[in-house]
Amino acid sequence: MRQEHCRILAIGSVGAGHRLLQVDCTPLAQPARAGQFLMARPSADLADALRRPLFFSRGGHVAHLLFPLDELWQRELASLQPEETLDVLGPLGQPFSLRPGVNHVLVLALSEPVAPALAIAQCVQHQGATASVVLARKEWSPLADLLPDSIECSVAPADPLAQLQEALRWADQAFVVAPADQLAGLAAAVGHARLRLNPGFAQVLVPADFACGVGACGGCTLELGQRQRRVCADGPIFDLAEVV
Amino acid sequence: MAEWRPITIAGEGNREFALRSPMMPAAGFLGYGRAYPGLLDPRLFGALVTQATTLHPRGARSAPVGAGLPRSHFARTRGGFILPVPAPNPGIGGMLRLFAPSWRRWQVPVIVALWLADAEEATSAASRLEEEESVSGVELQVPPEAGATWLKAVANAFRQRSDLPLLVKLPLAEAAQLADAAVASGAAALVLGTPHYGAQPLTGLYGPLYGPATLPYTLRALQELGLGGQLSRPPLGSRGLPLIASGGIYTAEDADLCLQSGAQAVQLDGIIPLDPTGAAEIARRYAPLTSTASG
Repeated sequence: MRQEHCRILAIGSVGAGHRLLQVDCTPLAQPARAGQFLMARPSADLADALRRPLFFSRGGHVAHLLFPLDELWQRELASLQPEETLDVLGPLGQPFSLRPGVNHVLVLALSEPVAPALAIAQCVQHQGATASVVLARKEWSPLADLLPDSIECSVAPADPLAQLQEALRWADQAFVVAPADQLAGLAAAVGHARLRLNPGFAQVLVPADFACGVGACGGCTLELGQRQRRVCADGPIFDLAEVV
Repeated sequence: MAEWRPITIAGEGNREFALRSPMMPAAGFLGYGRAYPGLLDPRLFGALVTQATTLHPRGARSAPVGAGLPRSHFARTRGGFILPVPAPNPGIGGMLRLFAPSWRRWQVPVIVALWLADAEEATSAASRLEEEESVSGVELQVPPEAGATWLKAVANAFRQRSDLPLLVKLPLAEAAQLADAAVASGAAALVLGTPHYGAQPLTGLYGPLYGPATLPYTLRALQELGLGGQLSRPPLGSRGLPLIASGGIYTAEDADLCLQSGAQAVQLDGIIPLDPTGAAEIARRYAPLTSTASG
């Protein structure tokens, strides 16, 4: 973990609702792994007294950070210019891990943050497996353009449940961005499609806001799978079988 | 940099520990010490103050039903944040099992911040902590609604079972009213203190409102207690019981100001998650050593 001022290389729109920040993360020394995040300080003044979580849509030294424009801080972040710097802490959180021998991974984003779904799809492909991406919302359609053409991506399918059931049958592994209140339904869908939910088959990213991002304050603790979990440090990626 | 000499925090028995630096993390901001590996070494501080810990494990609520993010245990405000206490924590037993092995290696005094319901819990907590050699002291968190009767009962119950130095963290809003009760209860130091409580009705959160705007309240409490102020009893601070400033200290200048205003030590709170490197720089100005803690 390091705290550095990373140089912004470029910033651009992805559709009307998202911005993509390209940042030189070389100073962090340790490249982010797919699914990890940064705690960023968009402004040096003290009006925003806590950092904000930002997820990678692509790792590496020139990292891509994708974020929606829902909140004021995100719009302030979007106003930064190339050559300015961004104060970041990270990389943080438990990353996605591809199981040995896996050939095909279903990547599904049911909610924000969409960024880690994109990062994980590219990570899967980089490791020699194939990824199929499903983005649940129509307004996320422009985000599909951030993926290489070799990754299949469908947006807002007409019958998402049917597509999910079908995909769960052929996938060797799944990654899903899903709010905590949808985990039980997701587990049921997996069980229905594959007869049972085996440990390691599905990893889920549970969205949450983080105060410290490092597990110190307990501000993001949730009871998941009858255990107390600090989402920022114990997750945000969990094995679905362990949290339902 | 303010002039500072090492001090000793002494309980009423033979137990005491030395502060080799006036800098500490405030309860809840460095977890149990391992939160910022490579960035914020606990041994930069004169002592490690743990997260506020309950006698038994304290959990979070289950994931709520409904759309959107789960409700967090904190709330962002303009210029600050509400971080309710106690946060979910493993309880005293879980804390000792998970973290005491590291504490024994770190060679830094560990002050366990305690959130207790009543005197009975204080007795049990004292018995558990007495058994752990790496614990140097205890910081009793006094809720704003607790009052002097609660404070005396809990502090006395703790002290009957343990002679660990008992620091008492007072709510800034009631510090002047509760200081006498803390002193009468054998406090080894007063921590000034827990920020004023705020509420965010939409999320149901209620707790201390942290942020740089707290500093004047901390200085006011130091002024009232450290210099005698309007109180009838002898002053505390530089001429008596140690005072530890906590609340809204975000810069080295803030820390110096507190030390010059009668505090013998200071605790850093919101600056730690906002700027851990900056917090380390503040601590390093007075740091006793710089070797790296691990494990």
